[in-house]
Amino acid sequence: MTADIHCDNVAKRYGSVAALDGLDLQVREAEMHGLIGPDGAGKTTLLRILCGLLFADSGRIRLADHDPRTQSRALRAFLGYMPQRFSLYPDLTVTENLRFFADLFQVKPDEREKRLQRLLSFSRLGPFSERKAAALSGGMKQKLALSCTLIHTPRILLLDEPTTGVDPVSRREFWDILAEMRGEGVTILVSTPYMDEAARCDRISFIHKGKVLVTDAPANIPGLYRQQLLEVKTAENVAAARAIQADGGFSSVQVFGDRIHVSAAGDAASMRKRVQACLQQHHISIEEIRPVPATIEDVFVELLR
Amino acid sequence: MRIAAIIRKEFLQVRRDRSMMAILFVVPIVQLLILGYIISAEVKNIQTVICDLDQTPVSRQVIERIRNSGYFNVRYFEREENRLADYLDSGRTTVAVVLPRDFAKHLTNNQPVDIQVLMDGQDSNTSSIALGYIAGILESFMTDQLGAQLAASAAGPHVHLITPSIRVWFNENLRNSDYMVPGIVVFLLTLVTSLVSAMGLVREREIGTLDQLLVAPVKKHQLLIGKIIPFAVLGFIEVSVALLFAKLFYQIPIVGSLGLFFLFTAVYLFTTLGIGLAVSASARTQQQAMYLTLFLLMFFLLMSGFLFPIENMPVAMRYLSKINPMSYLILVVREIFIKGATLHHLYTQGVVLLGSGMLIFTFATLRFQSRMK
Repeated sequence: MTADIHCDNVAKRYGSVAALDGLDLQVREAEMHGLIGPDGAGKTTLLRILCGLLFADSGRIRLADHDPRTQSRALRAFLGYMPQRFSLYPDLTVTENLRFFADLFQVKPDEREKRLQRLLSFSRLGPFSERKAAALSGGMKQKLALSCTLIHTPRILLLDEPTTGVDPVSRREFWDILAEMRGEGVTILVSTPYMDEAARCDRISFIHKGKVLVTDAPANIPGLYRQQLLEVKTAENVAAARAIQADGGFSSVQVFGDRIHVSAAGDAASMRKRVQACLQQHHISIEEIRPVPATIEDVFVELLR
Repeated sequence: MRIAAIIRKEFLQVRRDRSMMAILFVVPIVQLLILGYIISAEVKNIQTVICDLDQTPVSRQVIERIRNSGYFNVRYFEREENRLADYLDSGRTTVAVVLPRDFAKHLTNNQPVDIQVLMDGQDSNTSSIALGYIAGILESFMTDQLGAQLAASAAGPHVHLITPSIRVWFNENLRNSDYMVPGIVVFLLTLVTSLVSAMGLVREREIGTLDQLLVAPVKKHQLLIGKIIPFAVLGFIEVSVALLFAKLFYQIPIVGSLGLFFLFTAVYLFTTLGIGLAVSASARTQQQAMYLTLFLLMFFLLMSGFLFPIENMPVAMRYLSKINPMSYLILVVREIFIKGATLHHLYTQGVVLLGSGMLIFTFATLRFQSRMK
């Protein structure tokens, strides 16, 4: 049994809205696979269908050769699912929550205590083991949730935006745990809104309107960018972006904090001239202008258009 | 075992939940304290004004009888008949009694006498009961008068009046609390078990833990049993606390078998837990679950004959109350406690309660199964 995931032409409608619209996805065994895409792209629906909480209208789905619709019970024994809002029992302590999930998955008592200790040290929740879940910080709650999901050592792990709203330090710790799980051969499918997290995956799939638009290793994604990208820094970025947009000669203008990304199909030198001319006309002085390689984010912004 | 894991978790949560502990131990006592006193079919201390226009020893005898009945609190004496309306209008009294001029004279002359009774009919229940009391008092007065007259007359030795010699069985002293308290115990049991089970499952849905339970390899019936058993145990704890208090505080008699009572309680729990389960399968939030349960329980309470006599209801409502499981259990509890009834006497009630429990619980289970998909 290889712990891989296959989705062929999966569709799911909510009334007149197509949440999944002929989605294809292949996740290899022991791979950390990232799912990214705008809100409403169908990421949560896909994950819920994979774990058997929802049924697809059509299409073929296999997780380690199991159909989540007909073989859900067998599947659940080696599947870990952590929903966007993983809920712990707030009035139970960290250990009580862990023990409850261990018992639910019928982990043997001696084995249970071993895993409990390991997960507590893993997640650095050891010192808080007797604290009620309600009194944990956001990051600790997510780590506890992950620990509860891992207590039965699943071979496939489905995570739905597990670090949304978590501080950067806890986020990194969380991903360190995931990396370790992956190292142990666990197949991980994780959706995330964070590009830095996507970059830690082996491969990422970009979902839009219920379809996978592209799947590739993070390092290869920027190569998909077909245009030239210029990074511009000015004193008045918003006004500058508006001016460049109004020029009409560029396919996209995006403000990223203190920089503007301008893209067009042409070559870097002529683009640079045109931007300079445009901004001069509006009396906006340029602090810096240079061609840059595309980021994952740029590629997805382009794909969305 | 998975069921054991769920049950263990459930009890852990209950133990931590202060409001649950209050519901289990404080609420029944407070309810019994308050309801045991105020819910009463008797009417006492009726505020009364008397206008004695006769002012004779005979009229004063009648007034004494009204006073000594224990039902009327004769607060005012009024000499002017036309001022009586004011007492009723202002709400100072509910009843005004007028003993007419020449009351005694007419009585001795064997002429008809009218005694006027004015009544504030706002609370029709109270006033009709009060009217009954007054009529009874006057009747017994008349009987005594008649008896005295007969004895004095020539025909005396040959005529006898019928005097009913009444002996009340089972609740010899007609103690109201003996009758009401078992009803309250049943109502508390109904309220707590249906409400707690309705909230218990919806809470898991509300905080989202239900999804985790559903992706775990737990079968639905295991989840169901794991959730239901703790609520049933809580119901038994609740009813035991209430019973202990009722016994110690109200000295209610428990003539029959406690075991039989608990057996009926167990059967009845299928109905109340079924209601809670059905509600929790439909409601999205705990608040919805609470409103829905209370709405259903209102029907149970009002149609049980516990607050309003079923005999007074329209025919259709009387039939409706016949399918109210709570009224059956109240009856059963009274029969067991006061009369010492055995299973043999309660066969019909047992069948009805078992039937309703199976029906409601099956419906709830099916609803739960389909909703958990």
